[in-house]
This record gives sequence, C-alpha cells and structure tokens, in this order.
Amino acid sequence: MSKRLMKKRPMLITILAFSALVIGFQNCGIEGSFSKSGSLTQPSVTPGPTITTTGTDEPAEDTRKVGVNHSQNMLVTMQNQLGVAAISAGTRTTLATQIGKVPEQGTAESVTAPMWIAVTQISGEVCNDLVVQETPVAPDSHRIFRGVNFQVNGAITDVQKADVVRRLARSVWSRNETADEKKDLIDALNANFPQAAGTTGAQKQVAMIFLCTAMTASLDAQKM
Amino acid sequence: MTYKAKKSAKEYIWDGHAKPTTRREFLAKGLISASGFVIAPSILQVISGSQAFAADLDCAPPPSGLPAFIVVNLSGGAALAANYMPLDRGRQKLASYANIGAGVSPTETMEFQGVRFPVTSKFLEGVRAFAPAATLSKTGFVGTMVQSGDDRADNKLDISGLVSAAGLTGGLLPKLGTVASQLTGVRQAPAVLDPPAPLIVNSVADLSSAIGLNGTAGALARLNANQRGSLLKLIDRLSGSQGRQLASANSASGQTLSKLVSCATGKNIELSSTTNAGIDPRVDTALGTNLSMLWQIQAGAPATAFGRSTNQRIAFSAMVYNAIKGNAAAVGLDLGGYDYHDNTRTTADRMDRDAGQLVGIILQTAALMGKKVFVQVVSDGAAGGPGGDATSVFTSDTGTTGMSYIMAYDPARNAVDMMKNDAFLWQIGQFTSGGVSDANSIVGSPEKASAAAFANYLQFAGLIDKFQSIAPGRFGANELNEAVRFA
Repeated sequence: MSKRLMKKRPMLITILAFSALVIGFQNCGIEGSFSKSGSLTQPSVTPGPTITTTGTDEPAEDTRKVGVNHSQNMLVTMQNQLGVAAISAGTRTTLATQIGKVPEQGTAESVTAPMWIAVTQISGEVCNDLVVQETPVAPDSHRIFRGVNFQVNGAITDVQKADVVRRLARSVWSRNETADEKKDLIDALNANFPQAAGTTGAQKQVAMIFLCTAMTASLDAQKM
Repeated sequence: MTYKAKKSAKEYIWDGHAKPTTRREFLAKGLISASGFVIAPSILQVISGSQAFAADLDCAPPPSGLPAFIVVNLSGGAALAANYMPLDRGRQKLASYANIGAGVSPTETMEFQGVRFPVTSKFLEGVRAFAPAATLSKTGFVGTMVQSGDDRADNKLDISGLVSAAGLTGGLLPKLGTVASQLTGVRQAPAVLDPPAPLIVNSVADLSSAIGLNGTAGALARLNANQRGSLLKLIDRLSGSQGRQLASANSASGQTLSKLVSCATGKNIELSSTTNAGIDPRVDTALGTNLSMLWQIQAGAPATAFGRSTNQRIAFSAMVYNAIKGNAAAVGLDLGGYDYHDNTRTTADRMDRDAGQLVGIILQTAALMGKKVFVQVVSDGAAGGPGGDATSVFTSDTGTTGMSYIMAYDPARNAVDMMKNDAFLWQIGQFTSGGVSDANSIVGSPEKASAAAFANYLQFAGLIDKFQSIAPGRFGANELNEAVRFA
C-alpha cells in the first residue's frame, strides 16, 4: 500500500464503517440530493426502494438510559425523519410558540403534558410540510405517501394506507410497525377519514397529516 | 456544497449543509435517533427539581418545591426609591432624601416586620389597600439599590431564565408574559440565561387555547374537534404500547419514560375534552368568589381598577392564579406608562399606588391559596426632578437612583423569621452620600442585581446550593452572604 494510502487509512476505515452502518438502516435519513444552493431537493427520478407491507417488527429491547427529543433537536430530528426539505413559515411560527414547553434537556423525567402537546403541534406542522412537499410530485414518486394522489378526487386504497404506515414506521420509528399498531392506525384513519370516490385531494391531505402526526408524535419517534 | 445551520429562538433548521459524517455531527443534527442505537447511544443526565408528572401510578404531579415567581415590570422608569427609604453602606438613613423627592427627613412607617418606608410611599399605600396585616406579617421584603438605563428594554433585569434553570416549570402552561415583542415577555432583557419562550397572555382564552389542542391554529386546525380528539387518543394508544415495550426492558429510565409519557398523553386527552381545566380563577370551586372580589373581576365590577381595565385584570388574575397554583412557570406582568416625569407628582403618585395595589393583590392571592409566592418589582431607570418633599414634581429620568423590590410571601413563616438579622438588614447595595445607587456595591450593575435576586429566590425555595452551578462566578462567598437577605 502506498504511503499516501497509508496516511488516509484511518479516514478510509471510518468511511467504510460508517457506510456499513448507514446501509444497515434502510429508509432512514433523507433521500435526495443537495442542490448547489444548499437546499435539499425531493428526488424526482429515484423514488426509493419498494417496500413490502408483509411482516412486522417488534421494537428492539433497550437496556440503556433513554430520553426524548428536546428543544435543541426536536425540529431537525422530525425534518430528517420525514425528509422535509424546507420548513414553512407556519412551522416556524408554531415552533416559536410551542418550543417553550419543551425542555432543553431530553431526560425521561422532563416529560410533561404541555411538552407532549408541543410535540404533537410541531409534528403536525412538519407533517403538513411533508404533504405540501409531496403534493405536486407524481404519486408513485412519493417517498412517504406513495401512490396517494393529492391532486385529484378519489379514495386512498387499503394497499396505499398500509404502504404509508410502513413507510412512516420505518422513517420515524426506524422499524416496521407491529400488527397491533397497524390495526390501531388503520382503524383510526378509517373511522375519522372514510374514503370514497369523491374524496378530495384536500381531504386526503388532512387524512395523511392525521396519520403522520400520530406516528411522529408517538413515543418511539421521540425517544433517544 | 456547504450549508449553515441557523439558530433562532432555539431552533435548529437544516437549511442546506455538508452531510454529517462524524458521530459528533450526527449527534448535533439529531440524526442519532434515525440512525439507531449503534452509532451513538445518548446518555442523559437527570435534572433535579423537574416539575414533570411524578412516578406515582395515579400520574399526580409531584408537590412543587419551587415557589411561584412573578415579575412586575414598571416600564418607563418608576421612582421606586422615593417609595422606599434607601440606606447607606452602614444601613443608616441618608442625610437627606430630597433629591429623590421624599423630603429631607421623611416621617417613617414600617412594614414587612421592620422595613422602613417614607409614610408618603404611594406604593406601600397600595400594597396595604389589598394585603392585610396578617398577609404582610408573612411577607419578607428586600430592596436592591442598582442603577439602570432609562427608557430602555435591554437592562438585564429579568431572571425568569435563571428561575427556569432552577427547575420552575408549569404543570399545564409554560412561562407567561404580556409583551409579545420581548424574549422575556416583559420589557427587560434576560439576566445570565435566556428564558423559555413565553406564552403571551391577553385573556383567559389565550391560556385555554394553549392547553391540549383546544383552539389550535396551524396545520392541526385542519382537523375538526373530533379528529383532534381521536389524534390524541391514537398517540396515547401508540405511545402506551411502545412504552410497555420500553418498560419491559431492564431500564429504569425506560420505565420512567414509559410512565410519564403515558400520563402526559392521557392528560392531554382529558384536557382537550374538558371545558374547565382549572385555569380560570373565577370558577375556582373554593376560592372563585373571593378571588373575583379581590381582583375586582366579579359581575358589576368597575371598568377600571388599579389602573387596569376589566379585561386586563381578568388576564392578570388568571396568570397569577396559574403561577401560584403551579399550572404555569414564571410569570411576567408589564405595566406601561411609568415614564411619568410630566412635571407633576400626581401622575406618579397614582401609578405608584396602582403598582402597589397590584402587588398587594398578588400577595393576598397567594395568602388565599395558602401558597408561597416570590414577587420582584423592577423598572428601567427611575424618575427624578428638582428635588424636595413628597409633593415635588418629577421632571426627568434619573437611572442613577434606580432600585428594585423583592417581596416573598410564605404562609408558614413570619417575616421576621424569614429574614437574616445581620448588618445588611433587608437591603442589597446602598445609596451613596450623594443620593444615588452605589455603582461600586456588590450589585453595581443590573445583571449583578438580578443574580442577587435569583440567589434570594433560591434561598426562599431552600435551594441556595444550586446558585453557583446555575449562575457561576457572580459572587464570592462573602458577597453571596451579603446578597442573600432571606434566612
């Protein structure tokens, strides 16, 4: 091995190890490319891997000290989990009014009811930003709301609902949903947002905001 | 390609940046949770004094160890020194108080178990109008002699960030304030630490809409009330099952987190479905009538009282009530119009009395509720004039004669037992022989005066041992002893 390569060996090892770890976690982080301006753009050509909705995961056991997202990292964590390129003015406004309820340290003991309302509100805004981001994109290219067409009337199918649940689970929970979680989510979605041929794009947006917020504001999305 | 992470109002937004490659960058960008536990497990420290729901199975919040904190800012430069009797370094009376408009040798009156005031003090007159002797006998008073900038909002006189760092949080609501354009919620800058973002309150509705998802704005307003209720229930259900998985692992913090999240999400369902979250003093089951009468917000009350309109009195009463009850964190009440050097004394007298009445009402509210409260009265600069007795006019700003007050009510202690009995008495810093606040005292700047106020808050709360860790380097041991006037 040349001297030049020997000098770069630690960096090469780090890069290889990091790559192995990243590859090992599918669908985490943000897909997409960085534009020259530095903003993250939604992928227009590579929609990401096809995800099967069969099979579920049980959450991994954890024996270490755990906490939750805190005021310093909450928004960027949600943004990364969901792949939201640009935060809207509405999200910034909600963040400014709600972040005071979120402690600066994310210890387990810091959890309060006002804090979790703030988590829910901020999740709702980021989910709304995601819906807005995906709406103009071809439905089959949506990273999260795959197949859901927000621009025309029509029902969200059961297959699409299951697929969205799977994609959200892997994005915000870093795992597949359990059978019980899937049932809870789909049942709540169906009860609150019955679908029909005449369901408008705006109604489908609200349904997806509901689903996305519920999952993003749940414990597994917030724990660290 | 490069990007810069922006920080504003504690916000970190990914706005285009070089992709993180090191563990430190992943941690900083919050990607650790998405990347799983292998790269960088997070190890977090326990914060003592947190007001999070207790580990009790019934989810009842733990008894608060921290007294309510309320700051009353008299915006514009009130003549606080003329309403008090500043003492010199030796804690003797000055040769003359004419320069602050209290006369050469004012007749004294005593309150708060031995603190000296000029009998002409309109502020004290106002306090006495609403806080009876029984309440004042359990109220300690501290006067802090500090110069401050006139007519400006950047004096570092707000200690709500420090109080928050000490652990004061609200069970339902965050820090409350009244001035939307200010980080502190009042027209004062933060001392040492920035406070959490305040909820600005103009009405009780502002409080109720901050609880649960009631009256929510923004994206979730696209959901109707039933859908919002279903959302909270779904979050509760998901978090509950996820928490049970976490609790079943051999992790004490996991069990704590599971329980507290379950309590929090369950509480939010309850709060969002109720019309009485216990935040309106007028409908307090035991005290509603008395509190309404005290604050003059009952049916048929006058349109204006202690300088406040009915709506303002309702808002203030709700803020103070929730602070004392433990629902809210620190509270800031900003009173405008104290730049009252209009070549008369009548305006100043009226407004000083109004401020005193408000403080008296706050103290009496705590007395009715049987709880401790720590009230700080601050102002940007002071008012002065050609000097003379208590009828002399105010014609200008004179920040050199500035000061601030602390009043702390404890239902379980008499004031004489609350205060140190030493050479410094009830005063921090002093006036010079020239009749101005001594800039060379231990509280020679607004920020040092604020540190002293915070030290007294911690002492009042029984947590003075936290001072050096939260506000390090402000005082040496002797100075801290001098600064802390509560026993």
